[in-house]
Amino acid sequence: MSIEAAQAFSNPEAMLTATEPYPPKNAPTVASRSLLRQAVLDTWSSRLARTGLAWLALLVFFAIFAPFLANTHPLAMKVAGRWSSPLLHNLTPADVMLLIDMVVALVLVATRPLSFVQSVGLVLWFTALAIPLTYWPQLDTSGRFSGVTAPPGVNTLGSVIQGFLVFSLILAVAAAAGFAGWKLLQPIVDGAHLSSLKRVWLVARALVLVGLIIWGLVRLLLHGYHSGRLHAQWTDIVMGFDWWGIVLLPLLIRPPQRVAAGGGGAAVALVALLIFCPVRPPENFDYTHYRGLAAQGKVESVIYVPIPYSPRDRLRDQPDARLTPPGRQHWLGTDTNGSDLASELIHASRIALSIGFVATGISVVIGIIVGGFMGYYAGLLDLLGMRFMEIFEAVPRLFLLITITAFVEKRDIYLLLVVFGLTGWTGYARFLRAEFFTLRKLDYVQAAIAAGLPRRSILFKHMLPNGLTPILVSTTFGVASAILYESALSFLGLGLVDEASWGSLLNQARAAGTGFIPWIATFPGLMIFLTVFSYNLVGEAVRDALDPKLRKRD
Amino acid sequence: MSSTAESTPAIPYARPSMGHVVEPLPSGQPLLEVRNLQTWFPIRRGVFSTVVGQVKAVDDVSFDVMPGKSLGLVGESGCGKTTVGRTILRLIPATSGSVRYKGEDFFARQGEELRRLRRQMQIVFQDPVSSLNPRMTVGNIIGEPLEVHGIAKGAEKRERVASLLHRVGLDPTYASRYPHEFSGGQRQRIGIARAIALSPDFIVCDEPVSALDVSIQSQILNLLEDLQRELNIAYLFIAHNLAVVEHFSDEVAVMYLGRIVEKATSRELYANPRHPYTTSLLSAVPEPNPRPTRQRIVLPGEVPSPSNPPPGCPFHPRCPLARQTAAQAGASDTVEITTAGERVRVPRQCAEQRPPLEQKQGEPGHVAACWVTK
Amino acid sequence: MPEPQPNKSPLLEIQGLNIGFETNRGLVRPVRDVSLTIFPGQTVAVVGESGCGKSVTALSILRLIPQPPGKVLGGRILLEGRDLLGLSESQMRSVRGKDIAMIFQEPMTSLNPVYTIGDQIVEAVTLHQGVGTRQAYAIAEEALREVGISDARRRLHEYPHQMSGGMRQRVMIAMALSCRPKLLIADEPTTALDVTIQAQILELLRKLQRETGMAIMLITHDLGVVAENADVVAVMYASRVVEFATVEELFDKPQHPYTEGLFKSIPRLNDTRTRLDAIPGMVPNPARFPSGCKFHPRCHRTRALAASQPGAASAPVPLNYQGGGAALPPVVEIVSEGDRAKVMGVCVSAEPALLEVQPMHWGSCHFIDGFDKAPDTQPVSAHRREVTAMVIDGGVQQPMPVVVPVSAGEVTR
Repeated sequence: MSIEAAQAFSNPEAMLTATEPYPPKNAPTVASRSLLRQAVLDTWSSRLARTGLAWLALLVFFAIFAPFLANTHPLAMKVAGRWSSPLLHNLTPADVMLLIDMVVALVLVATRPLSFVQSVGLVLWFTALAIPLTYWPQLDTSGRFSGVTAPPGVNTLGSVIQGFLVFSLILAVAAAAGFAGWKLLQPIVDGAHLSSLKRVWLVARALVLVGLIIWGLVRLLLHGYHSGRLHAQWTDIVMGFDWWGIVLLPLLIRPPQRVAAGGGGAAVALVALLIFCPVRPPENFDYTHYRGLAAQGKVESVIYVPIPYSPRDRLRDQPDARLTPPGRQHWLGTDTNGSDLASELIHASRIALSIGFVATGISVVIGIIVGGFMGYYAGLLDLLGMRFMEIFEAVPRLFLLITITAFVEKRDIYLLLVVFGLTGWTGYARFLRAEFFTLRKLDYVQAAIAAGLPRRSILFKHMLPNGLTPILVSTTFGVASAILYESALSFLGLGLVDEASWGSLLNQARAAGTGFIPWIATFPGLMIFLTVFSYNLVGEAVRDALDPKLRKRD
Repeated sequence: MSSTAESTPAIPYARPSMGHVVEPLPSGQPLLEVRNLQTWFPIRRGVFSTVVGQVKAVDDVSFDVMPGKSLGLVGESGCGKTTVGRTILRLIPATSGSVRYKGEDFFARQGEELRRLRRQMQIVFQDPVSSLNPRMTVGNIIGEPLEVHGIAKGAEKRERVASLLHRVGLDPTYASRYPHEFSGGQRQRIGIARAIALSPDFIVCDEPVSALDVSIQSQILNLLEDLQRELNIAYLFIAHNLAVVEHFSDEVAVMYLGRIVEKATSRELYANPRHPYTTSLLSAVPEPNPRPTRQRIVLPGEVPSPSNPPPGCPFHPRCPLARQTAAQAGASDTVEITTAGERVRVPRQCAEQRPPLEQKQGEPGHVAACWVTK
Repeated sequence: MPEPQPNKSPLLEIQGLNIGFETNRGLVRPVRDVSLTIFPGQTVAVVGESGCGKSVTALSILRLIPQPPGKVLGGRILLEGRDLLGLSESQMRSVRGKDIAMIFQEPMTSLNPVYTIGDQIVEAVTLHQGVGTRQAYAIAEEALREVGISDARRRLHEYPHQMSGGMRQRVMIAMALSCRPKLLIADEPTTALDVTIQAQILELLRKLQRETGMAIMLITHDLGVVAENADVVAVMYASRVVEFATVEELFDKPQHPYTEGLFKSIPRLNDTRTRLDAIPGMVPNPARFPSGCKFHPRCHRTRALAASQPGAASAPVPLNYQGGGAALPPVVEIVSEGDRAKVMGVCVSAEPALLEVQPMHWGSCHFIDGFDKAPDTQPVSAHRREVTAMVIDGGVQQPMPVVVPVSAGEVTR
């Protein structure tokens, strides 16, 4: 029985394509579907997946438009004969970035000039551009942006520049060390027949060399800090990532000329806009201001957003507003601090989504890189990589997270994201490694090697797209689990301090000491449940869409 | 589709010539010279992956391929013929031996030189399902090597891809489709188009028709033959179907357990086989004749594992000629061996010494590795 | 060795079998009006390429087709007079393995990798023969020895992955034969094997057939295997039987153009041809069959006949002509894969049935001699082949007995 016949029995669908696509010329041309597009369509065809996606779309809507849904600042207000928009004046950098991203994404979806990967890259580029632009007004106040206690007399602009230089130095050193080590290990990696002694000698030399380089760098940096000449904060150094991203992403995306021109123009417009209208929300704001004005009758006309309470608005002018059950004033009630629960839930969707996507994104990228190298080169690299992975896996993730967050004085969301990402990559690495082992032996990879294609083309164009299937499926589950981890941390009181997240609200629900407060337990719990459930639904639909077709056809 | 050689192209951009310039070799010089090729795979056991044995997939194989001619390599599974093909193309590293391509040492090339030389040696695979990247369109699969090697870009590349598709008998508009939309025979044609895209001089055909239906096999074989005539390509044709190999090849080499046991021109081998393995292989091919005239030789036992080949002549435990000779010679010069649960007598030389490839009775150049046969 | 007795009543009769599959592109019919007959002790070969429906036919006999999406649209399968399609599932279970057994192409996936082969054989034996475990192991060991596996007792405790392909196929045969079935369905049993192992396995099947008197339904695409093993051949194309004849008749005088084309296109040893006569085009997609005779887009006979007809052709007709039974002009033009060709109109408008065009020879083509007067009968032939292969087993020549063929007139329906 040939392959067609075997397919025909096990999958009648395959029987239809196993023979000639007939008739080839007279039939109306059907748009040829790539497997990925077919998988997306198949996922969409599942009703459960559509339900899940609907909830997630609602969450995304909440996240982007949170300030327009729940805000103490009115949308428009007329005082003393002048209209003003306090809401627009008090947008935070995060609000602005999300709005920019949404605009860019909508434009890309509507006009579709780029492929999916390129479009994601373009959105990322605009985000990278927006980050320093939205944060530069705050730099001058040199307050909230530091995560480490700043030495006195620091010049924050200077520290940004220094941070960039330090980051670039680290990057250069890492590249040099990696290159040197790679050259030394090349014979082993290429599979030459060497005695064990020679192998050990080469590995030892490589490790010593790399260790020396790294040690030199660390000493240099420590010297800089101790002598007081280095002011860069750790966030400045991490910002270097962002600066390099702004430079490198356009090179990676390689947009066609029209898109490059349009994108460049939009970027210039964005820069101009943000320089002239800086994002400058006040540090501490008295949320009772507007209600006070209204009580004094100075407000002539005002337009509020649907929920006229910010999450940080503790309603200090209404002391018994704390712990009110759901009612007309507060649709879902208030929490122990007096903040409106609905408003907190809506704003907390940002945390949930960003933890989910960004943290998982970091994990996936690291996992793909490590797993890809291990899978392609195998041998010694695989051995070392497995030991490296085992180190990461030996520590339970939750305990690691608790330990790190307990040691850091000021917990902010960026730290959490990075830590989440850095601890969760091993699963993806294992998947890609396993896929690459199989893929290496497949005929079309061998054909690519035989055709003399360069190694990077073989890795990224031929092997990687075909190895992503299990990663894609487990990414959706990974996002759900990241949300659960964050909720767990917040519930234990180790999450974010100044912003409420769903988990920390759950924590509040039990803090009363007399049992639990029903509405504070139910609604955040419901949000967590619905979100995780939706991700799981989508994940299962994606798995069903990808697995049988690809496994049977390949 | 009607036979590709006869159909007139109905599309405007059909170009019969590939723009291929053959550097003429001095006549008589082989295109490919393989000498003493060995590919052994280590068997590792234990925590430290110590090597406990070797799978001798290819064990001292030598042959020449002349430009524009086909050499057929036949044998059963486990004989190493596929490994030979891939080792020659350096898809698998060789343990020892040399391959000279157009007179120059192919194994010594590295880096950019190697990549450029790879242009001239291509491969067509057996499995039409796994030989094409499912994520790339057909046009990209065929066109990517063209772009990478700087042969054509953009519109010119698309034109070349279209003419290649037409050359192998497919509609050029198929370039925007994905492999999963095609049948096995069509996918094999796409694989052939990819192989000839770089205008190679040498193609390894690794069982190109084994996975296809009977009526499609002949179409693909005809296509390969036409391409050979047109583009002067030399083939290393690896197959286990002896009738196909006889039809297709000029010279045939029979492999058993990693070694060549007989080599001759195709007509000579089928008319006058000298090695007992060749004889039994030929007799085992089912004949489409309801009144069979040939005698079928059924060999006892199974092919031994290449990690533990028998000493001496690798075929001796199963060889009917060895048993016959030992029965006639009597007790002298014979040893008793145990194979597949039975005890038989075979000549001592067959059991202890490895026979070299020697000229046997027949055409000059007809060699076989057997102590008994003349 | 008992002489096979000519048996008067058929063992298995398939009458007008129709199978459908529900797919999201509508109902696909992989088996349409398939009829054939198998007598006890006979070897019937079913030949065809992928998509022709031969495997689905075999699986339907044992009712192994999952009922959604598959369903039986009509026909009967009579095992010694009993309609298998009307049996309940538990009755069917006692038929499978005991009366009818099946072996498959890929022995690796047909054997459970986590059980030893002894366990797997014993499971079948205890189920169908109702003996105790110890006795079942003895039967299993004997079965392995019968199929030529040396050191059978040790092998009983081995796992499938420890054995080679040929050995695994022997184990499958041992399992299938352990309950002495009356019919063995062999679905491409040797396609995945090397040619010398193939010879061994086929010889083994012939030997077991002689010893047990069972019938074999041999499904294959290899015409050489058919020529050397079959008594009677059914050629399938596009879900139907297009020719049914004794093996000698089929090879001497093929009637259907597809059979003719197959013979001309396969390479043979000691062939003098320089170029193979390939059948142009490809096997049609079951979801989009052409109208009329399914072979007409690729058929040389209809084109040759149309070319010799005088007169111009009518306007081009689509290949899936929807005109129903309305007759077309004698010569029409079709467009097949971008080429225009003139074919006979009746081939496009009407699908030929399988009719008995000569005694004991059924064909399905409008242009076989005598097709218009041929009767529509159930394809039945109790024929045995004239000559069996000469086998040299391991160096010692063992001639096989020549079997006396049953002459056609003695068959009862």
